[in-house]
Amino acid sequence: MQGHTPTPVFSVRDKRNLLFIILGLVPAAALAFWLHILPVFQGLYLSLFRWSGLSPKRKFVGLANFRALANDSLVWKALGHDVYMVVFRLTAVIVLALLFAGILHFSSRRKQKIVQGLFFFPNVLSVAVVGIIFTFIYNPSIGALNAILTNLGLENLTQAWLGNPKTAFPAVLFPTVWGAVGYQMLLLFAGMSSIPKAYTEVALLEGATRIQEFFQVTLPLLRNVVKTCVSLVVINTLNRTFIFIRVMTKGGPNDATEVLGNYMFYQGFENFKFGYATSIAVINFTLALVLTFVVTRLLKKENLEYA
Amino acid sequence: MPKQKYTFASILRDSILILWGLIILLPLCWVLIGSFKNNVQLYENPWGLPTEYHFENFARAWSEAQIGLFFVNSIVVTAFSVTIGVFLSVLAAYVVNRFPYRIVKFAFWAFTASMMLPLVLTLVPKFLIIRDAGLLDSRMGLVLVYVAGAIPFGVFTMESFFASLPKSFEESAFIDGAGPFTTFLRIITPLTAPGVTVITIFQFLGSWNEFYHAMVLVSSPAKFTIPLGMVRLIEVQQYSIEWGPIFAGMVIVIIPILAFFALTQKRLVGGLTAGGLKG
Repeated sequence: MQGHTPTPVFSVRDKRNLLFIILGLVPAAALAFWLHILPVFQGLYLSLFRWSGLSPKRKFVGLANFRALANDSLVWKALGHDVYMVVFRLTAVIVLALLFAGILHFSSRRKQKIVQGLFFFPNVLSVAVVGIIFTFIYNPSIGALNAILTNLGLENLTQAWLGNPKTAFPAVLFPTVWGAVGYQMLLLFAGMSSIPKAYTEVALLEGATRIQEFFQVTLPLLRNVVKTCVSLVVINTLNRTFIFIRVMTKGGPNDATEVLGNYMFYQGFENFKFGYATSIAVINFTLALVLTFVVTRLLKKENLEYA
Repeated sequence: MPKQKYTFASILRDSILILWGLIILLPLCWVLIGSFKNNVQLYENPWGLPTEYHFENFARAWSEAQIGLFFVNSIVVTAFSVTIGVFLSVLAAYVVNRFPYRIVKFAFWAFTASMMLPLVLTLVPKFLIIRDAGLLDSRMGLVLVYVAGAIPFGVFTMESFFASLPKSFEESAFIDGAGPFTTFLRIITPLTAPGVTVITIFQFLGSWNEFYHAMVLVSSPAKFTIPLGMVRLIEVQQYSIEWGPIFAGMVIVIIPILAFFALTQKRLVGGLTAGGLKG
């Protein structure tokens, strides 16, 4: 920082401070750089090569990987699935989270505590655990879902949920919503709680109903929080949701659940085309940037401030 | 909020909450019930309570299905990652908050910016880095990757904690002739408990649940962590599955997380909403 000299307490004129800065900062910075930041640049760089990862030789091919991607019909299919996945999760997660946060807003403290705890719990379970539980639930012979449908007299709806290309994708996406709503609900609820009471009370005094007040006063004031939630969901969907697919269907049946993340994994770690795999990841990253931009843009309009 | 009578709206609101509550609880209860059953009971009546209890499912999950081994691996990996990760984050956060030099501020900016990095893009490079370091298929490799991944959020969170800690502590220590090392260890460290609790919880959950990196970095079953071990177990048994022990395994895996959640829920919820709203 320029402009003012540090107080003697924190000045590097004291050689002990200099040593402390180096010893305190370097290990964390070096580790984060080595295994967290550097890999991003390496990924971008590798996407320009053809390389099996096993042989010492790698061949610079420029943008050839990306040209090959454009001709790979599975990439286009996966891209479409990714967009579908983002729209599906965004709608389901945000609508449910807003609904629950809105209801909590009108509930007693006790109820708020219980619901927050219960609804958030799935978020702390491992993707692997949630994926396995739902794989069992969808299982055609012992699965809980078919058993419930049979008990309800809806036997004609029972099926191999993950084996049928028509149902596999929604079936994989449901647990990703199940495990994510709680967190977004907490964020939205915290946002609602920080809106000064005066605003909502004025609306109610003016004769607005609770519902009107919610949609016309609370929700607009919540825009920035909603924007944060929406960006988080988009980014997480494209970076992490494919792990559910890895656990539950591996992209099948008949590529019905193939997404870019899973396809990257397949090309990299089963097909050992490391250059091609990273170029798929670059497309995935680009898609995340574009979709985040589009979605936050849609929510932009004018910013309302109450501070 | 004043006490309300039951109205149509309030009943509707409660029904919605109860419905989602059931959607969360039923799958978990189903797994719990299933963990006491054998295959015959599971096939004949997936939802019924066990007609006879097969407690041996748990013992078999622990030893035959090797969940005991995965458990130990998870504990080792998590203990090392969390200890190292929290220590490095706290130290770095303290430096970036207290020492007003340009390069130090740049480091903080880099930590913060790197919280949003595209994970999918880094998987192949991380695999190559760990392989070239000769750490493939080792718990050590996992620990390093987890620590590196946890540092940015840890530094970010702890930095805002130190920002709220007055500098008068250091100033009076300085007057008494103490250097930065003594001050940090004797005076600052004992004051960091609230912030450290929050990042410890996050780093614990992060390492304990991690599956994505473990899947590519570890290949021998002797080194599997719980999430990886469970997934591989299902893959191996796909066609001749003995469900009871697998269900019991899921219960064994969920219970520590449930206990941990019950203990830390308040701080967890607080920490999440504070961090999330800033970002």
